[in-house]
Amino acid sequence: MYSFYTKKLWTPPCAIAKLLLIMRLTTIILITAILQVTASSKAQKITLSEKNAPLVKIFDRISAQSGLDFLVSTSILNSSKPVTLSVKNMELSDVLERLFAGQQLTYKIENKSVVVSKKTPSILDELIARFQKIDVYGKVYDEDGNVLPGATVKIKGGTNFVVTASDGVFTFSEVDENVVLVVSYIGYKAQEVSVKGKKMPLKVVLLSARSELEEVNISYSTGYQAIPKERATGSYGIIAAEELGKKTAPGLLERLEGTTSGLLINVGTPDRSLTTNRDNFTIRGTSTINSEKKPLIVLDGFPTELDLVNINPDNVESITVLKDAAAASIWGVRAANGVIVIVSKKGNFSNRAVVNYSSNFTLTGRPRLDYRKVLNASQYLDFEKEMVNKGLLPGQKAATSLYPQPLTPGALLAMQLKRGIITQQQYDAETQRLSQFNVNDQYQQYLLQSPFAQQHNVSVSGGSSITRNYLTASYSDERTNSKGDYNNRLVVSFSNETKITSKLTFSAETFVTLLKQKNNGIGLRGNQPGTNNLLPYEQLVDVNGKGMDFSYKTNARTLDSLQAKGYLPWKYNYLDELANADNTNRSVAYRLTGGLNYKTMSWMSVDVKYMMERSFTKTRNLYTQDTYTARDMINRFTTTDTHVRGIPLGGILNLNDAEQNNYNIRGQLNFSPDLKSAGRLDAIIGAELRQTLTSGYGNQIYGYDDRLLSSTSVNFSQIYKTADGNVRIPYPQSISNRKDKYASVFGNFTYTYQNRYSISGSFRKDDSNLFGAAKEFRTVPLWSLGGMWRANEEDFMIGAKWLSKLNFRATIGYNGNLNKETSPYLIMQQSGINPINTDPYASITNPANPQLRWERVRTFNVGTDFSLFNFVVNGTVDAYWRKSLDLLGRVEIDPTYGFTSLRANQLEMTGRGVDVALNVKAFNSRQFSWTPSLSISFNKNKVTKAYFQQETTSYYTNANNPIQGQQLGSLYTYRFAGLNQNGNAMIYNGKGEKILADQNTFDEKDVAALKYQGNTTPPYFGGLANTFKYRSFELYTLLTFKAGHKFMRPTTRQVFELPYLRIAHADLANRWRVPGDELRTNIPAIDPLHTGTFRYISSDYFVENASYVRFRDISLAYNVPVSKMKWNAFQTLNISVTGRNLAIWTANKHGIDPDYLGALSSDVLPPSKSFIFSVKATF
Amino acid sequence: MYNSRYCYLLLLLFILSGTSCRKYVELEPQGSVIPKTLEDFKLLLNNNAVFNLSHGTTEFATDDIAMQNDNLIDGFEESSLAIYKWAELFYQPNEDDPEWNLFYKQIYTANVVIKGVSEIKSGDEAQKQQVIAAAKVHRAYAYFTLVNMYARQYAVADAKTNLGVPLLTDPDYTQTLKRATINEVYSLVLSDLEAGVAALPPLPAAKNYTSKAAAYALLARTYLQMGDYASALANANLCLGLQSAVFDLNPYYTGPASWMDGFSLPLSQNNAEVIFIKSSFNGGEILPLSPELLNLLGTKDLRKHFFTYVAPPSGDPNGLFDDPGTYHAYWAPFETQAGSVQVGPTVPEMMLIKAECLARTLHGQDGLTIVNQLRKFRFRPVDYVALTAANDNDALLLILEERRRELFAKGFRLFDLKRLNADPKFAKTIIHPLKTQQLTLTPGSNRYVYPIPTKVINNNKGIEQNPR
Repeated sequence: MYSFYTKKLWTPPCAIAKLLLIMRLTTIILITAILQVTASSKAQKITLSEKNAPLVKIFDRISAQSGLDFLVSTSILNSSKPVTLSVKNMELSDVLERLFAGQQLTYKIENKSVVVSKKTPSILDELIARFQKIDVYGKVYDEDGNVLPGATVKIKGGTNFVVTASDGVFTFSEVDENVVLVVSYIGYKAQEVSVKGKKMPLKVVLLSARSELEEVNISYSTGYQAIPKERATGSYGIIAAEELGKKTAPGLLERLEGTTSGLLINVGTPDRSLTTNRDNFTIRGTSTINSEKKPLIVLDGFPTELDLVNINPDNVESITVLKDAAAASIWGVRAANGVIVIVSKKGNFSNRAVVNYSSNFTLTGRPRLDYRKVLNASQYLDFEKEMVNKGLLPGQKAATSLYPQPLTPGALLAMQLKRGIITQQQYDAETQRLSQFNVNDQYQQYLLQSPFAQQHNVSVSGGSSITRNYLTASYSDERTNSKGDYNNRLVVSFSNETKITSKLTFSAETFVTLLKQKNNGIGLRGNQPGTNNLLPYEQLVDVNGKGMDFSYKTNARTLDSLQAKGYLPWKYNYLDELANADNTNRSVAYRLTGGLNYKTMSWMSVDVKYMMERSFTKTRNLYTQDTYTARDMINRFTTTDTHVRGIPLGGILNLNDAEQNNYNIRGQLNFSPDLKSAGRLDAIIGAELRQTLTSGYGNQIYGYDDRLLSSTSVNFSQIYKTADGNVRIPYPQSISNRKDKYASVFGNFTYTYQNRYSISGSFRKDDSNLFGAAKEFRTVPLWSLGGMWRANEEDFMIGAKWLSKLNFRATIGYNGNLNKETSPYLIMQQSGINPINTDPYASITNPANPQLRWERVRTFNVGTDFSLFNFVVNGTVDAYWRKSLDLLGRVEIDPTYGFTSLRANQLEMTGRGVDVALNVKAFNSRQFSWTPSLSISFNKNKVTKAYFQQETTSYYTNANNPIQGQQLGSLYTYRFAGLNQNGNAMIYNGKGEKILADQNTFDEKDVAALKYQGNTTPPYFGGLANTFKYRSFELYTLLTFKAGHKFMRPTTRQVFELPYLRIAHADLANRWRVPGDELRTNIPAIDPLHTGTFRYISSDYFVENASYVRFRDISLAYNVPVSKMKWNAFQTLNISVTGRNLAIWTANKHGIDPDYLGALSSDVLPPSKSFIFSVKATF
Repeated sequence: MYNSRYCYLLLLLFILSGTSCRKYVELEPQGSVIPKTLEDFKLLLNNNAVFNLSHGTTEFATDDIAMQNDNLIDGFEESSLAIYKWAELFYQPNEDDPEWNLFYKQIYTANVVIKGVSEIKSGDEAQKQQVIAAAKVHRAYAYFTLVNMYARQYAVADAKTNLGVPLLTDPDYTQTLKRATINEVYSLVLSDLEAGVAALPPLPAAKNYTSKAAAYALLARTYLQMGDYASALANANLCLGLQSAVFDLNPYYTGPASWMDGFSLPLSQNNAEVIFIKSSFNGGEILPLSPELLNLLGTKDLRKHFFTYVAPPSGDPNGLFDDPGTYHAYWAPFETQAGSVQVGPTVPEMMLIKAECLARTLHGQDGLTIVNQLRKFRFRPVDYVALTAANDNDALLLILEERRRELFAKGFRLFDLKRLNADPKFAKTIIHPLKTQQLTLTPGSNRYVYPIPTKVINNNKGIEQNPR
């Protein structure tokens, strides 16, 4: 026991608050403190009038009048009830009697002291107390119905208080039923709620301190902690579940588009939202060139390596986008690209179960194959004739094979005509016949289809005062635009939070995702440039509806003769291929996070959390003997003379397993001491360990029989003399295993004074096995500092009634970036078996580079959050300056050093940008409301140092090469100077003279011949969303845009690349043919003497403005008035129809969607219009 | 008191975690490793894609090639045509020169091995020296070929002033580059090969590995190119002392018309006469042979039977080619890789060096005897005729003709022309037909030398282009 006498201190009664504070701060060493109240006079009659006063205050008054000392422990005082007492000249003993009547306390007067102790209650007393004590719990909302995390709920008169959790929930157990709760929150009017007779859970709605209209108030989650918006110094963007729910795509990627400023999403293949590896987004532009460009994804507090496709977007409660250093640097070396923090939905502390169901169907128009501009059949025949006449077809045989490339029917006809084997009439008749065909018609009919997708989602949530649960199941499937491709996904997730005791909370989230992909489609593979593809005048199916055979290995005559000799048929048939394909990809991913939070003190808690995630992907591609792949493989390993088969007859089975296995463990201390008027401090420190493991195994099995599950062994060391030369059957087994470990310490604090001034800071140090073995390369300390001023809280701003909110923020800090591929050491890899001696061999994959350093990014951010006119206009503007140091790049180096490229610290660059988000409640009445919201981002960078820059034209014309003083991604082109009288493309050299574009004496150092055209990445992008509400109808529209960047219009290839292409750009139709054409066209002649025209292809003639506005979404929803319905099963019922990708306005006049350039080699088509029908219901 | 204890415990936990972090992240990577052991460096040397490839374009610049078919010319590889035309540049300024890159990659990797092995502290010293010597022989081969492609012919008079190629003996990419003299390059080649002789086993386990025989053979090749016939002869003899089998073409002959006989020839690694495998990097490019060479080969030579083919106007003999061209081309269907040519040292090369050196040192008849030994394996017995000569000079002429017949299309002709041009007796002007043009190359012309790649010139102030 430790006595604490306050005789000298105890004069001004107001000091008691301070005293208690000191006591609270010292409870680490003091278990109990005894308070002695000293008297100075000896009067025995007491006069008092106090209402709801703390007991200690009464003691003070009594002791002042009577001279008695009170000895009482603080723990007793904490559990005492406030007192209302009014006495006039009453006897001390009576006063004490009345005073202690309502308390669970007893007293004894000993030697001029009153010793106060806990009453030992009788069983009856206890029984009564039991009935009088109740559990109090509930949820705090703002007027808009949003939950308020971080609000303080206090028992009036006591010192017991709790802060609402991220879902606004608070609980007190076993409190007196007569208590009154005081609920307060910065920026809101405090509210008192008496609990007696109220039904739990309580719903407490806080009203804005300034006006009736209050803005949505949210906490930002950094993954480590939740920071209330009003105290967050960093730059964040938050996307609530409601906003994500306005869109219906099964992938998170689509749902994020256009939602927050600074976040640029590229949706490549909207019909494949259930496939992996399609994440393509950046936060505030790129800050790196060769390292990880993807922002870090943090799910329920831990980084995830799982593909985004595994996450069910309907299960997401909120997404916070951490943009600047103060926000993100807590994530250390992985934060340079920004961080996306995903928090999944939790249940509620309510006894009532809530069931949600939603379902939607997406119908998409047929793929637009005609989007790509190609030569039609007659144009292509004409082109082939010219190629033959000019000796460009047939080209040189590929001498590595016995077989020459097969000639196309058009080229063969032209050659026969040239050699006089057929007459002009015969040629004309045959080409006339072929000209009628358009391969796209049948391609569309037999190999492509209109995409279709559906989604079903069920969630159940509920709980009790001490636990809350959330369970969802979601099923999605989709048929892509390629026949034979089909994907589906099932996600089941569960989360629980349980208050084991009032101090110990357990929480867990888990989900399991099953993905299945059927990859049997041919897609656009047959309709791309290449020798094994379709010609514009070919047909997939003959008049009898039978699939046609195509000779791709060599000409049909040879293939027939080989088949006669015992080879397997060696022809390709698109329809059979599609029918026989059997390629599946299945994956299981699951994730478990569990954590304990223990409140050691009212101002400190300890978190221990663990995360484990795994994914197993199994790819099974079965090529039966009917497939071209198997027949080709068997034939290629058949000896030419004896026809011995190196690979046995039967199917070929390809099995690939990939596994991800990651875990993360974290210990964290959270501090939030109550400094009273000295402000508010929140701080965390912690440490974590993390391991990621990626492993894979692949094998190929020969002579496979799917019915018997049997296979045959082959001889991998035998050399077979085949038509392709001396070959060994490639050894098909592969193993990969990569484990990375990280150990980190981190800390963060936010301090707010007078609700007006906040400062924050963070620190993190990561140690990992990456980047080599020496420790000087391994660790990098990263930090940030920030401040915020809530200007409208200042007294001098009170006059500005129109200003509802005005915050200023400024932060600075460092983030890092990872590059797993680089090491300062020489790295070698065992690459296989040397075919000469069958011994293993190794290759150097990374030359030694002792000067290598970590990439770092310094960001300086200033921002303001404002609200005007009673929160009608709400906005956030952030400006940032970024300096990226030691950025790694793959640089070209002099081949004399032994390798042609190397990863090195290539450049330093600065970036700057502005993010603006504006939300206006433009019109707001009971019947109708209109809320436009706009997000615009501007981003620009400049390379300040490029260490490996070369002053050559080929360096400059590659937009990936950094150029000092220019933006990254700068587009330099030659200047087109028209065609000469022979139809050859001309360009200007540095002196302004016209020279041939293919001149091979062109001086590479003539950089002056180039012209800067702008940038290939958009400096401006954003989205405009409008929400209209009329009675039960809601109309939502989303326009997205990118502006200010450039692209190169696709055109025909260089002349020497044209033979055997089989598909050519439509520009060729317009080519120069006869003198004088140079006045009419800019497409050069096919000239065997001038075949290298790359300088023409990369000339300003093809530069286009890439700006566009896309009408991404329009959605009409109807909230069915369920309360008026007879059959009242629903709480809410919402039906909606959405149109996606309905229109695009482009700055270029060629009808090219700048996100889908339509290059012939691309296998992606722009998305077709789609319609989504959706139903959502709550039961 | 339990609260405070709890805090100390936590504090202790953090301190502990801080110190154990270092241990936690110590992780030896798998798959991609930092080479440390002798075995690791041996694996690097066994990379055939780096070390067992060699030059393959030099034929185009020689009198063995003639492009007489216009259709073939139109479809021909642009860079090969540029070499045939002895053009200003052989590659576009932004293109890589594959041969330069290949040899410098060999040199870099060899330097990595030499440096890495000499830094290994433990292990058997003799084994380490053997690995270093192996790397040095590869490095010598690369420098010898480079200096003969990208620099003028070695001559005692000006080798110390004429520019050779950049000489790198350290795997460091920050050193500045400049061209060493021809003499410096040759000195390194010779000392590297001597190191090989000192430490390598007499014969290799597989033919892509270096050996004493290979080092002797390359020494013979180098001294011959330098005109040091005595040393060349000595080394050729030392080499032949270790390996002397000649591959006999006769058993594979099945009939006069079938060029497909080539399919049954053994691979380089199974071919008894191959000493050390280096095969042309661009295996399979068409080499249209000149009438002069075809005439020299005559009609009975089995080398013509096996290693050439004719594409007649109606297509190839098998009906596989739709190409209308008529040309007579080199054909090496089954060497190490399909179509690639063994350009590394062989027993016949050693015999020819020996014969030439004997003839040049006044033992012409002895030289002819050796050549006739070789010819027995190159003609059917019915067709075999022994060569005879009246004097050493005639013998030398016959030996050089045999050298051209034996080694055609194997990367020797350009280097031979360069050294023979130094002697007015053998100097020769080459004429290349090109459609309507006749291009000529006079003896000692600058155009005998390959241009240094433009990329290298542009990157380095200190590197001069060869005069054209």
